[in-house]
Amino acid sequence: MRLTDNVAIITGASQGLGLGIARRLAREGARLVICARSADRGQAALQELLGLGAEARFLAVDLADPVSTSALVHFTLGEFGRIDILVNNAQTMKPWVPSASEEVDEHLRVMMATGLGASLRLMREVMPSMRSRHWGRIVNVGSLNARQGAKYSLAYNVTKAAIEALTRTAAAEWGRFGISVNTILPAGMSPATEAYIAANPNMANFPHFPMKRTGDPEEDIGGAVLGLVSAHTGYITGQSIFVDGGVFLRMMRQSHEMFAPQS
Amino acid sequence: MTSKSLAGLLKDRSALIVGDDEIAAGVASAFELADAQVTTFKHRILTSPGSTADALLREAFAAHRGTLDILAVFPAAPPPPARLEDLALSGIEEQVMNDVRETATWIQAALPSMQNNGGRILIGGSRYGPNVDRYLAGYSAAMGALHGLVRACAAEWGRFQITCNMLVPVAATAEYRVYQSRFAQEAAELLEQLPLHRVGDPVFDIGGAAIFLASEDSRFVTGQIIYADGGQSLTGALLEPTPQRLQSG
Repeated sequence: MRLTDNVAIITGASQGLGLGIARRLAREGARLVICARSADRGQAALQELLGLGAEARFLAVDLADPVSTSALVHFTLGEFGRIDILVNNAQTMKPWVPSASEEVDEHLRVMMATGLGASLRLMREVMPSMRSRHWGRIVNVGSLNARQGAKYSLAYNVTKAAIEALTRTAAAEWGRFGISVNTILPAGMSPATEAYIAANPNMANFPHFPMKRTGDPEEDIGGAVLGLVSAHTGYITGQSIFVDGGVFLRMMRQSHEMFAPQS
Repeated sequence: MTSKSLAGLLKDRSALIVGDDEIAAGVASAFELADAQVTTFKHRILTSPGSTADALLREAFAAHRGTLDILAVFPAAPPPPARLEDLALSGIEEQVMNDVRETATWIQAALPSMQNNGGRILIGGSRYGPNVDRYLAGYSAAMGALHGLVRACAAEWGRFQITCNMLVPVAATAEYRVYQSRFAQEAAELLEQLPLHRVGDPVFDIGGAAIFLASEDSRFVTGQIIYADGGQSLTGALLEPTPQRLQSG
């Protein structure tokens, strides 16, 4: 087990990719604090992690509330005495609406408050503990949407783009404290992907993905996070790392492929 | 970071490392510390006559008895700096030919050993591909071309569960040590600007990042440039506020 010396906070870990990341780190012996808004889902996730033999805690918090981040950090320090790893995964979601809609303003305010604001505050609040041992790993969760002109999700796209800028700036400032900060841009079997596949069964085999599958929350997305929080990757910092099976390498289907050899 | 912390990370993996520089040597050492079965190959096969190249390739893969988990290819070091207007076209052509053809040859040769069980391909790159600095035009062109090759390989061989990524290092190699001894003040300023404030160790920093790209951890990461550069890629030729202008350090 690779993380037996480490304490990690993972936000939004009651389901989907966040839970997959938590499971992967739990299997490596990390002590975990997970948080989510829903106490029911959070408790269920906690039971899963405990079932893997992990030493784990759950705290029900709404990260939109500015005091929630310090509550989470104080709770973690009280339980485990230190923080080595922070995974900022939580993101309040809103329905997709056209950018011309005035609803976008409110969506932007809400999504930036959790995605960007809470991530920033948590980073700031865990930093002293990391700095005191000259060792820390922060992974922020971005999105492919931030890199495309994905339609009808302006507030989400902007928030996720902001997270990459947050990552780079903190990496540049905190490298001297032995802290690395990276963004992952995942494509995985999240609740949103599950809903999409349910509505579009012809995409269930992920034909547009070079690897012909989407990411498994634990093995693929959790695996990449494990790599980035490990001791041997400390020289990688400030990066945006696509964990997407290569899907972002390709654009919409190009005409030359119509003439390609069949395989 | 100790050698102990790498133990077991590439257990039961076989790796072929091609290259003759300190980065290739550092990655080979790291892979060995991670318990991979490592074969290293220093030859530039394409400068050998055709039949010799084929024999060298067969020899390189023979050690792996038909299966290979990891291929890492590192291109040759950049040539001495020269202005674009002074570069001979034949020199640019040779640079691209050597780096791209050599790398493509190794990638193609590795496919039969990887396509049944998946694999990891790492191509050593340079910041002078995606980024640029003056007086290395031929080398920059070759590194940019290698980036295209990496992405094409990722897009096409993903279906075999083969990943292909480019590793861009910043490391304390012989070139850096010469620079440090000749330009001590500039080297100190460079360190001050580098976010991690230290130049990478070829084994633990660059080799460590290479282990990530060679391991199960990165099984869904493909077609990417991974900078193991202490954050150098975050720094730009922007004006930075001096510490005196900050409220607090």
